[in-house]
Amino acid sequence: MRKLSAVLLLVAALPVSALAVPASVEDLARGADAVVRGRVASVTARWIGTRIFTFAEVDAASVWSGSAPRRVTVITAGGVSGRLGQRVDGAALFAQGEEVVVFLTRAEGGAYRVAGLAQGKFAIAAGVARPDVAHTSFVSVPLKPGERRSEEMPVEELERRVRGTR
Amino acid sequence: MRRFLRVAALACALGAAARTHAFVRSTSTPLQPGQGVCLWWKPRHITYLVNMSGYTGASCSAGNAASQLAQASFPAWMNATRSGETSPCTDFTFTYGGETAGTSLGYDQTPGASNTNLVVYRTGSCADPSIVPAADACHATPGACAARFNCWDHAGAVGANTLALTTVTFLVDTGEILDADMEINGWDGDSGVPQDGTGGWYFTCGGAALPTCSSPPYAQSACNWIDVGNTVTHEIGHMIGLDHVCVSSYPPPYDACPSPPPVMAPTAVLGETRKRFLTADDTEAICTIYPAGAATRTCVPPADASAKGGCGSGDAGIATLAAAILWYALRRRRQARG
Repeated sequence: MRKLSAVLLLVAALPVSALAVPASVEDLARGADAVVRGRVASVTARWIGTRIFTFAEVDAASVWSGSAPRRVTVITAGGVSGRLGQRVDGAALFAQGEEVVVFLTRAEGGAYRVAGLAQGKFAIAAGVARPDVAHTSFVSVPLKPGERRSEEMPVEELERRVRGTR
Repeated sequence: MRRFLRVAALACALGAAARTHAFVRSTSTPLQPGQGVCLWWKPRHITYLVNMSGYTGASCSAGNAASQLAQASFPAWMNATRSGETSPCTDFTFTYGGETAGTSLGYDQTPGASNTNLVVYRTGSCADPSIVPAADACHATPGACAARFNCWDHAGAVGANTLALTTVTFLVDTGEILDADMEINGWDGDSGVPQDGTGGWYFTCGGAALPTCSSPPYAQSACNWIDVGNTVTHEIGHMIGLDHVCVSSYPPPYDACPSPPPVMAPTAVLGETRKRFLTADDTEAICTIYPAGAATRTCVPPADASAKGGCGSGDAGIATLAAAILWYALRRRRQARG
């Protein structure tokens, strides 16, 4: 009975997957001004007019593409400030202490935005790079031959694809 | 008693496995379904304004077709009716408040400020110097270029695959939604740019019977490419507090994916129009959260077991939780006897 119960519980929780086809790593690299690997030093959010923006300070350990300062400020839409929050599905999220690879485009006041929204930010853990694209709606379009969509992959592969993009 | 528990566990687990409802609610902690508080509207009557003045293309050029199709998307949610029933199972309503020239998103905290729920069609990328001059002062302030030039200011020129975004303002402690604004990533009218999304997407207003446009789609009218209704109906789901369903990276039961995929599934294909119409899962979502004649289903902190069903999903969470409780009860009985 114990085995049966465990099996039934497992069946009840079986996931059913759906596919999305985001931008390729190569697309992101071509559109980015810089691609850096680093660690998030701090995350703060504040109101600018009627919107909340989150500012993540990322200490770049290495620059895979383009050029970027040692510390970059990355701006994303949404966040929590005071008693209010703004949720922008599709925006990249950063956590203090997180190791990341970020595809950057130059933005307001010398800061950067994330190229391709959440597709352009990968969290690094145990040698694996993983974008959080759960909140992004995608339209399915074919990728160029040999390219790989923004999805979980070994960090080494991500770096090789970025550095190999022309 | 033991036999009853076995049968109940079996029925509950099989019911969860065969479920058709799997909707996920947006919470105050993005990417963490089931954590934080879920988002919900206190009033059942929401007014929205539309700014489709930036629409460029042949498909929706007749009159104000893009706005009309956007407006026509709201009743899909208002009229949600369960299978076998004859009247809507929700009394949540939207009212079209008219056209606006407004382009600003977000929430004005000034006491007495008039905040509007906006549906706005952005035209091209704010990073495109032909749309926003490189020297314009708006580039110094986040959000300023979008408000001034009505352009897409997300992710520079690589907003590629995103069709639309919704910004929802909420109270952190309760999850009550105060404002919701929808941006559509519209084409900039430059037919020299390949249709890769960098110049926005070519939105169409065709009907379901029309074929998919050929690529590139520019200047084509009697066909579907990125359907306004398909997109707006999906984004309305976010406006009312729904997250995506069919997200494989979510933990069970939030990763469930009914067939056919609901309006709140995060993918679309070129030419798709089916998301103009709710599936049973979408209907269950709005009718569970905003049931006709009954209180809105808000959330309690996830430390309370009931939060699973209330904050995360429909019957998926409840069924799985019940199966777990029954399995635990059986195990305890066996241990007590042994």
